[in-house]
Amino acid sequence: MMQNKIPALTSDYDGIQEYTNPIPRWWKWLFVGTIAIAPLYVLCFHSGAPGATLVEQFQAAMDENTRKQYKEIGDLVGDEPTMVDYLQKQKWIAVGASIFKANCASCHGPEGGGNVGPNLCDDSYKHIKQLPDILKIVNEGAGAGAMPAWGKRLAHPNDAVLVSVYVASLRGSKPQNAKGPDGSPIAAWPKP
Amino acid sequence: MLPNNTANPPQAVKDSLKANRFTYQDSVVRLFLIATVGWAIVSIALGLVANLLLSIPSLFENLRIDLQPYVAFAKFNALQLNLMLFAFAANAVFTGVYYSLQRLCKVSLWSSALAFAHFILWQALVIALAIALVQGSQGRVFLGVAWPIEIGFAVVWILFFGLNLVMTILNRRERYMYVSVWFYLASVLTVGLLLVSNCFEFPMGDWNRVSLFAGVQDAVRQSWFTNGIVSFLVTIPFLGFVYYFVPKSVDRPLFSYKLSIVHFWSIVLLTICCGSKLLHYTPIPEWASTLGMLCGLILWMPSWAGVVNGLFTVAGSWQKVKELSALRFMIVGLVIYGWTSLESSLLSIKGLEAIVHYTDWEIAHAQAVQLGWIGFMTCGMIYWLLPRLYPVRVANSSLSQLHFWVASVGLLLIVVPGYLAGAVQAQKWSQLSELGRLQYSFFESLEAVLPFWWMRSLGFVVYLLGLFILGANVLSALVLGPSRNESTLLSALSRDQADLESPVTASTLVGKPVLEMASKIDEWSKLEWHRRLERQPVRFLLLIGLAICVLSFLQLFPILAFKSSVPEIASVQPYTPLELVGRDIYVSQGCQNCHSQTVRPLVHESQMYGAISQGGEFAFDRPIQWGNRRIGPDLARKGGGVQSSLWHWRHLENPPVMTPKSVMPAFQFLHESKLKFDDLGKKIAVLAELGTPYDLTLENDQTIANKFEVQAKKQAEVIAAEIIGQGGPVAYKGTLIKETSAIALIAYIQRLGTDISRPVVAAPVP
Repeated sequence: MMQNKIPALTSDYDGIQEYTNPIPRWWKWLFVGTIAIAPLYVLCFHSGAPGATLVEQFQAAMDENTRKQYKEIGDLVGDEPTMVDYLQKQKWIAVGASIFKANCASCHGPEGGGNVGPNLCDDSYKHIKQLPDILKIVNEGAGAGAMPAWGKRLAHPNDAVLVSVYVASLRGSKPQNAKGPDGSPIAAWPKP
Repeated sequence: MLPNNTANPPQAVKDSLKANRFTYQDSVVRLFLIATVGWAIVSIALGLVANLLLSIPSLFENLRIDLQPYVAFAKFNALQLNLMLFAFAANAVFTGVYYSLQRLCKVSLWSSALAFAHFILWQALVIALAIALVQGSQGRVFLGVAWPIEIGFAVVWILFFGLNLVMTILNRRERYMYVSVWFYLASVLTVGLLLVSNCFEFPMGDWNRVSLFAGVQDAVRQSWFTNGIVSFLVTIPFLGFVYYFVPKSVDRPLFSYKLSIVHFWSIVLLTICCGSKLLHYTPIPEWASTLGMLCGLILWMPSWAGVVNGLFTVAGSWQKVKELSALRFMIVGLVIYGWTSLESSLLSIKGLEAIVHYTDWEIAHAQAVQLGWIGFMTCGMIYWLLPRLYPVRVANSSLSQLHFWVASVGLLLIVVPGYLAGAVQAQKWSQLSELGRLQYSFFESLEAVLPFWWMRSLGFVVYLLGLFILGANVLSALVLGPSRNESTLLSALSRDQADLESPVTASTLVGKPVLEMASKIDEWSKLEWHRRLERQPVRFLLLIGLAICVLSFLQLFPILAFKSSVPEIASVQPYTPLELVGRDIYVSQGCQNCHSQTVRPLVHESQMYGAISQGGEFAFDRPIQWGNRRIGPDLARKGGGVQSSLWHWRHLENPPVMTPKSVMPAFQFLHESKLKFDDLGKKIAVLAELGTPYDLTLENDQTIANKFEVQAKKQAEVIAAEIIGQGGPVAYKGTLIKETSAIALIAYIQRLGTDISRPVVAAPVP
């Protein structure tokens, strides 16, 4: 521990005396070090170099993220054959599931059993006769705003297709606390 | 200190000693001490209730419906935050300052009457603050209540506390001001400035006001205020206490006078500059965010200077830390301060703050500061003061030892699960799958932290038990102490006489055969210039004041003075009258205690909440409601029917029906209370005066109030029709739903974040 070799100041305050020990060297250097970082940081991030601001960094990360997500499949066409095809692809259904969880679960229940929105797991549907109808409802909404239009809200057109595929895949599952059927029964999804 | 030739003092010294007999004013210190303990118990109890409400949202479900608005989590949370600061910590500050200042200046308080009035008025203000907060917040984290109360705080702080403190210092018998006194001066001055600045708002009616600034500008001003008030009301004076109570308890000289000078100036100057570190990744101008970050980072060593000076003073006497619980409380408090200040510096780094912002990590950090650093320091101070203020055998040492261990366990149980919960939330919110998709929903993160919240409640119970032990100690001192506390009569030389007895020499080189320059350099390097400053309280005060004002001005002026600092968005329009009413409900219910309103530019965040927020979107938000904790999801993009109005209607009535395991309290009372437009006209008139483009032209015998009331009622009908169309009820318990307060709140929520996608309409010709 530090040696108190330096004499105390002559005055004392309510019995408290003060040594005039030097400032510890490590303290000085760390202090100077943190100060030295400041101009370097400003130079790197505020000199107008492209891609340095938080928003630009975010845009780059988003582009990277989109590439990661959809490089493999390109832009999906939301027609029946595509949807039937993707109903077989667990990997992409999982992507649809994550979109569902973030956006749809609050009204349709975490597992699609329905809540203020209809049950999506049974054989009865509202507004839907075939697979592309799901996509249409997702994009355009229904029920006087009860179901909002998600077309503009989702980050990528593929999102709407994949979430529709996920919804189609829910058919036949039996979540807990599911609502009764809404709408009327429709024919089974076409087989691939 | 008396001159050492006491054997035969000259006549002048004898006269001076005779003329300068005095006692210390300790009665007022005792009062503040008792208040501190009382408010500590109240604040922690409120914290316990707030925390329990997270685990059991239905705790007060069976209370009468008209009492429901006053017992929601948000109310307890706001109460706890404010009382912890303005009741518990502030009273602890007054206790320590009034006690140590008199000793350090070797003089009695300038005015006892002022000090007693300060005591009474401050407690009255705290109670008024509490009542006002329960009735409804005005949308700030700290204070944010009726205008007269805020003005009251400023007046009492400056005229009843500050004036007395400065006058006492001017009356001192000590030649120099000790380092603790510098910290007291910085606190008094800066908090005074902050409290006064907080009163500058636009009056609306008798009690209310509208914030002068909107949106991003308001957010920046608020962060400057919040950061400043927390630091300068509490941490700065408590650093003064470290310099007084630690050397006193351990009975050793302070480690380094030089370090104390660097410590004081660096911490005071840097602290006021780092408010905007609370706003990283929000749409404030990026240079402001960088300023907050860099100052916060540089603040690391200045904060540790206090720790170094404290611990090195004790070094070599660790035995005393074991023996004296007072000292042990203080040393542990100081070590916790070392940890939290390091953490503060790290969390001022943008990338690190992005991870834990809005999570429980920040709550745990704040509570480590309040209950660890401030709480332990206060307990240590009280245990040290008790036998000195109540000269009787008190402060049963085994009881205070027990308190130390109970408090430590309580603190760990509160803070550690908080950090863990924060880490879990941060992980669940940002975890992306291999395909770059969110792994978890918001509610999965909520479920994961529930066990930690239970542990934290247990921690509050244990910490509270510790405070009861402290309370018992104080009570026994009160009961067993002498009925009238006589202060010892003291005498000391007057300052002039002391100067005569041992004159100050500027430099040992003065009068020696060296160049004038050399003696000047010698003086500077020996810090004689600062030594001189320590004899000049007024100059010292002016210097701090100048520094604080200039630094505040430089960071605030470029943002507050120019609208161009926040890029305007043409499609962003003012709120409709009904939405304004709804927003007032949102603000007064304290929704921002759980919901943030800004989507940060982070990939996972935009996946969870939607398009990132832009500064111009908040142009009409007075006050801003960005919030700082996400117990519930962010609401910035919740508008435009993401959930239908029916969903909101049912959700507000009973949240778990819509989101199972939701911890949100029911706001059913909004369904049962009638929609009121009392202040609407006044409010719109004030907003228009502040530059919000409302069309105030009136027809015939119309007033502003009824013009906008008609508009509001029309919109209420539209929203009610929407809910009914979606399958909702026409009336609720006999009231048409279009006449309920809930409709206004839903109108506001449905508006959030929608302006950005609205097509731009050409401005109407005036």
